[in-house]
This record gives sequence, C-alpha cells and structure tokens, in this order.
Amino acid sequence: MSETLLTLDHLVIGYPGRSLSAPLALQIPVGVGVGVIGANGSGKSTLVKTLAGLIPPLSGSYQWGAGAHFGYVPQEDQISPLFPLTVRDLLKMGYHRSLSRLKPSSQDFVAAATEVLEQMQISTLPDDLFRELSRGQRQRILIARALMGHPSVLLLDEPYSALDDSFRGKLWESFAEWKVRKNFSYVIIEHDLNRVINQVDWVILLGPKETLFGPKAQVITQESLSRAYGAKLHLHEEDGEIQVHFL
Amino acid sequence: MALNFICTRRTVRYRFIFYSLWTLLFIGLGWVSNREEAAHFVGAVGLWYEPVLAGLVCGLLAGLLGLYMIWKRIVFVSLAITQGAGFGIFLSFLMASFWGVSLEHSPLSFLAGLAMAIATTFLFVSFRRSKKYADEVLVGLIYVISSGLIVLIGDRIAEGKHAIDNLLFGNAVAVTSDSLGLLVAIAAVIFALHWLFRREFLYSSADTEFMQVSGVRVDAWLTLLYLTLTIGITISMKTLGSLPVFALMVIPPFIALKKAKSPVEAVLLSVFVGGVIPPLGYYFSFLYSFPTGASMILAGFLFLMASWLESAF
Repeated sequence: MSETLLTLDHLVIGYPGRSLSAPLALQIPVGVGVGVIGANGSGKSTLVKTLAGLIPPLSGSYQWGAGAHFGYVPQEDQISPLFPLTVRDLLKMGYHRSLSRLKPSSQDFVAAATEVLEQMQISTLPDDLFRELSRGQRQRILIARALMGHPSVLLLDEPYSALDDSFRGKLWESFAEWKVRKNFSYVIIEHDLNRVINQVDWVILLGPKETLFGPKAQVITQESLSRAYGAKLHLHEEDGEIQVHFL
Repeated sequence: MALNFICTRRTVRYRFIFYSLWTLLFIGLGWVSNREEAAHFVGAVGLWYEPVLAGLVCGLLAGLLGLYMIWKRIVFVSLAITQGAGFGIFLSFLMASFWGVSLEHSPLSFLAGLAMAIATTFLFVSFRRSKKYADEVLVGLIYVISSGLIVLIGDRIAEGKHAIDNLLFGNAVAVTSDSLGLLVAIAAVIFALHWLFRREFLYSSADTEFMQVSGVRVDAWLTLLYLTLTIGITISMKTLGSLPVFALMVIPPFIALKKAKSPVEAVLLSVFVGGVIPPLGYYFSFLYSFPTGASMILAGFLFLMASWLESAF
C-alpha cells in the first residue's frame, strides 16, 4: 500500500449558507496528479483553496500526508501592480524560509533561482519588474515561485491559460518525471478538459448534483461528464489520448 | 543567468541626485528671497535643532510606513488612526481636568492616544476581515465621530482651541529633549523591526494567499505590521500634528513609487524624501513666518511638482 497524499473525510466545501459539494470522502496516494474538473461555478477553486487552508471547510475534514509541503500557483496573480516587485523578489517569496534574515541573498538562492528559471524557460532578467512582464511570462514566474521551495505537492489553479502549447507540454513532462523521481504530486484545476484529463491519474469531478472522484478511468465517462457539465458531449480516444468534444 | 543575479541590481542614484538638487534649489531660493531671515535661521540653530530633528525622524518614519499604506490601499486609514489617537489624547486631557492636573507634556496623553489608535486599527482590521462593510464606510465613520468628539472635548478642556490646533498642525517649538528621545527610540525600534522582518511584511502584504499556503503566519505578521503603523503614526502625530503626518504618509511614497524599480528603491527614496520635507517645512516656516504644519505640506507639494517634472523627462 503506497503512502497517502490526501484524505478527505466527508468534506463539504463552500461558503456559509452555500455548500458547493456533496460530502467528499477519499484517499489519494502520493505521487499522482489529481485533476479537479467541473463546469464554471462548480467549486473547483473553492475546493483547492479549502485544501490549501485558505477557506475553512463547511463540514468534515481533510488531512494531508505527513511531511507534505506545498507550492501554490493562484488562478490569476494576486499581486497588486502597486508593488514594484522584481522577478528576484517573487523567487525570494518562494524561497523565503531558506533565506538568512541578515543577508539580502545567498549562493544557494542564486543556484535555485537559476535552475528554476531555466526550467521555466524564462528569458527575463531577475531585476525586471513583475508587473511589466507579459501575462504568459507572469504565469511562468508564478510557477517558478511555487517550485522554489521544492514542494512535494503543487496546487495549481488554472495555471495554463496564458501559456503556449509547447511550454505546457514540457511542463507536463517535467511533472511526470518528478512524480517518478521525487514522489511529487500535484492537484490542478483546468477548465479545458482535453488539456488536463490526459495528464492526471486521479480526477475529482464536481457536478451540480453529484461529485465523483477516483482514478481517472473510473470517473471519466461520457455520462458522468455530460451530467457534470449539463451538456451533450462526445468522448473518444485518439492516439491513446482521451478527447472530449462538446456537441 | 547566475551572473545576472549578482550583477544587475539597479541603483537609484540618479533619483537621489535629482531630489537632492531640488532640496538645494528650495534652500537656495529661500536664501535669495529672504537673506536676512535665512542668516538668522542658521544663527538660531540652538532654537530649532530639536524640532527639526523631530520632524526629520517623523518624516523618515512616515516615508517607510506610508508605503505600506499605499500598498495595502489603506491611505485613509492613517487619517482615521490619527483622529482616533487625537480623540484618545483629548479624552485623557478631559479626564485630567477632572483631577485638576495638566497632561500637555505628559507621556500619559501619548499612551492614551496610542491606546485609542490601536483600538481604531483593530476595529478596522476585524471589520475588514468580516468583509461585511466597505473599508471607506468604517474609515469615514471613525474620522467623523473622532473629529466631532475632539471639537466637543476641546470646548470643555483648559487647553481648548490651542490644543486642537496643535493636534491638527503640530507645535514645532514644543518638542522637548524628552519627547525627542522617546520619538527617536520608538523610530529606531520600528526601523529595526521593518528591517528584520522586511520579507515577512512585504511578502505577506503583496501576496497573502501564497504566503499563507507556504506556511507563513500571515495574520500574525500583518498584525505586527499594523501595530508598527499605528505606533509610528501616533508618535508622529503627537509631534507634527495630524495633517502634516497624513501628507508625509502620502507624498513621499507616491513620489518614490512612481518610478521605483524595486521595493528597496521605493523604501530608500520614500524615506529620503520623507526625511527632507519636514526640515524644509521648518525652514520655510522660519523664513516667512508660516504656520509650521502648513509649511511642511507646502514643501511636500513642491516635491510633488518635482516628481511631475521627473516624470516628464
């Protein structure tokens, strides 16, 4: 039996007076990619924010496995343009626990930042202002920031909307490699079904009347997706990949 | 890439030179326009060095703390805090008058102001967390109610209108060695805290959610940040008066942030401009017999004009 990444014990998410899910009870093993999918307003972001500790559950509980530490990539950058933060500042934000209080930087930080920027294929300079970068560059920096702390779990809230296809592909490859090599896990929200369902092992499908969860093959069916999205769709396999077309 | 991390730190040298030249220009213009009083000002250094030093320290503090006011979009909260503190000070005056003692130069009045300022801040923070009301409503209510009560109490205490004027515009000549010592000590502690916890304060302010998920106790850090803001505002207000402190919390950070390329640059320039404005205000006040608080606001306005000129080029 592999280690447990996350245990949900009759977890109900939502806001006071407005629950967004049926009670969720499941165990997810370490080293998997979890896709959170569902129609707009189904509670995808609320679920991830609840699991990140940003919103309290309405009832029930969740428990992360021992030693899990997180990287978080928000849906849109939350950082007000009033802050003249540089790329370096953003990376320090992700690395702050390892920085000395007395020194402005360290060789370890420089090495970690250099590595992660190369992984993210970012050509900007560390002194460039974050607010002046393009949306795609900003999203890459936010992912880089989350990776700076060497997280064992990455929580990603629609991180790919402004990223180009080739970079997205490389990122999925990195995630797949880390899952095997580092026991890395990720929980990702993505509104584009075709983008996400072929890259995750487990799925939490939030629908208006039911919430399905489990290994991808058990959850993703034409009927379950139709019910969750309230639309007719066609599901088929093409070159070994699942493809969904809304009719 | 590694080399970039070491070598590409931008400097703010040209902006410091630009604003230093403006300062010299204003000093020079004052000298040329009123040479006799300017010479008198230099000769009377023993008379003004303590108030000017106190103004400088308040300006440095406001330059630092005002940045967070702008970053957290709570500029008008500083006004509510100053009025809350003012209400506390006046309340202590009123209570002292019942006992037949004067608190005008007593630290007790400062402590009463500080207590009310802290209460104002925590009221604001808890209302903000509950998200039931718009920030502006609470800030407006605190400001209006405190201001009204200050006038009412001012009508009933011996210090009267004179005390209200001091509260609003400061009293340049009333700075004693003791109050200067207290101000410098408090400012030193605040600067030390802001340097030591610079990352926690900045990062928790910039991206609360990310820091919270990373395991940082954001609420605790922001509470400490607000506490330093409250104490800094209260002690500055007691020294310079409410309106000059408000001006110092807005103008230097605004100028610094206009072209800042990093938080460090913003802090350095804001603190520098904040430190220059009050002494310049005292200088104008001395030369032209202007009210000191209003003189500081005028000096701030001149620096604003300089920043527009800087933007144009």
